[in-house]
Amino acid sequence: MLQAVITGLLLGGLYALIGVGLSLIFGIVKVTNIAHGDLMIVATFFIMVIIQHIVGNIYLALAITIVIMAILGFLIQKFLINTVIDQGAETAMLVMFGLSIAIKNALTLIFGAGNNALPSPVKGINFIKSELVSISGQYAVNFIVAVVLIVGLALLMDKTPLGRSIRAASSDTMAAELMGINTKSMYVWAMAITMGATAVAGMLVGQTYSFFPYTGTQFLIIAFGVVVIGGMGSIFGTLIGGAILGMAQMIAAYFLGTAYQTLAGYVILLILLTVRPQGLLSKKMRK
Amino acid sequence: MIEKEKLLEVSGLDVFYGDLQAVKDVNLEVKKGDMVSLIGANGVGKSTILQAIMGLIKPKAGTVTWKGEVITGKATNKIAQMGLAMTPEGSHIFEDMSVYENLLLGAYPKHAKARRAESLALVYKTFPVLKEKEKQTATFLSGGQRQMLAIARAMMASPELIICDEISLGLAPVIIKDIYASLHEINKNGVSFLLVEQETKRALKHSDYAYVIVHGSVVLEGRSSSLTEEEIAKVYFGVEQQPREEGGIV
Repeated sequence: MLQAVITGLLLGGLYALIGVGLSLIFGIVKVTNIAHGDLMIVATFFIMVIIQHIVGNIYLALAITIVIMAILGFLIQKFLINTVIDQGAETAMLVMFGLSIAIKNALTLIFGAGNNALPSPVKGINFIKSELVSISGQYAVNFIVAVVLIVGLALLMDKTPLGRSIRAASSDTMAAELMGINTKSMYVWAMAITMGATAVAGMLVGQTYSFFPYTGTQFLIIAFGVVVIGGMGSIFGTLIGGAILGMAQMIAAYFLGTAYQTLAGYVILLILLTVRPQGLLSKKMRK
Repeated sequence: MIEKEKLLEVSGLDVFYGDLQAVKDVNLEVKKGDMVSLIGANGVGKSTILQAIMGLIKPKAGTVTWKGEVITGKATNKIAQMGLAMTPEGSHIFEDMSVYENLLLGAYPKHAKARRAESLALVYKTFPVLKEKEKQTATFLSGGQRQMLAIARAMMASPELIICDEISLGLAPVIIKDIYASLHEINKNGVSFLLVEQETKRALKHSDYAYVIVHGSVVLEGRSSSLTEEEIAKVYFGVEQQPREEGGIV
């Protein structure tokens, strides 16, 4: 039982990192990024290709991929979402749905439908191994990296002038424009930052699970779970959402068997949706 | 006598909402140091004129000129960087940020950032209550304090002109008096004002020059001291009946 709780908590860290990008874009740009999971897997494939062909070190590959993904985020926001966002969030969501399909097909065309894995320096190493509880190195790394990155993102949004301007643009677009803030370029910044963070999530996912071009959808659903439980738009909410979802899955697996773990996650999600539909740490609902 | 520098000039402004003409051939100007008011009943197009000046809506015809440069068609965020600031109707402060953060955002334009400390001191001198509430989340401010914050935030941009849309709306008379007193204080430091006000008497009292707007057009203008309430009431009355006779738009 203790093992299940701890594993669930650690798993929740990774889940939170997967969800935080979705939450940020929903909170700032007010668009549900249907392609979030696929974009994350794009990052995973980028890292794989870079390791195979350019530099062998996975962390160097990650650094390059963060830059690539940030640029990709910049382009997506500037040329896809910003051009349609004045027509409403639904149109933007449909554009991202289209992008999602395009990504899956392109990845399948290039890499085939088979499974892939990223190398991990901590694979097979145990972080803690005792009679009471054992923690794999990968899970420990996932958790630590996720928490550090999420806290970093929260500080960036909360304390820096850029974060303040991004928040202004998202909370009252007209007032922000009247301050002289180019709100659309704030959205571009937000998307670039988010995609950079998503690249890190992509690496951890690729090290923890095997992946293939259609894996993105699976993680989009996890991201949804995290964000709905934690509260749309709340950065710290994703940590709580991730922890709850992860622990629910692991505890269910412990008592009922692994077949039930996914189901358990979504039962919790449904219960929370009934009791507190705005999520646990949601920002205030806006008019 | 030296002619005062012309800051803002609006000429031949036409604004439509769909087929409905909200603003019809409006001409007006604001000179340096002046307090100018737009007087008119609810829904006659006063706010629309202000929004067109700030680029929030696109006029169908006409030009807005700022210190000799045509700014019609420019993005709002570009216009806001040129020395014009606006407090929109309903204050539009950033609700979930602190008073201090709201003020920092006011100093977003490059020229304003350089003078941020100076502006902040002036703002706190003008509105001491904002200094007290510096760390408070803006959403918890009272109605009067919200308007003060909106004006203070506009001051942070080191503007030459502040455009105020209905700052007295829904406030108690004693608070309105305070707020107008601070506007005059700000005006003494050389900042011009373009005010939209529903209450004729108040508008005349607090401005140097006034334009009376009826159905989207300027029907009367002059030095505020030379205009009387009776004169304005007559204009309201005379023009308001016309559309009914024409069977005009409802």
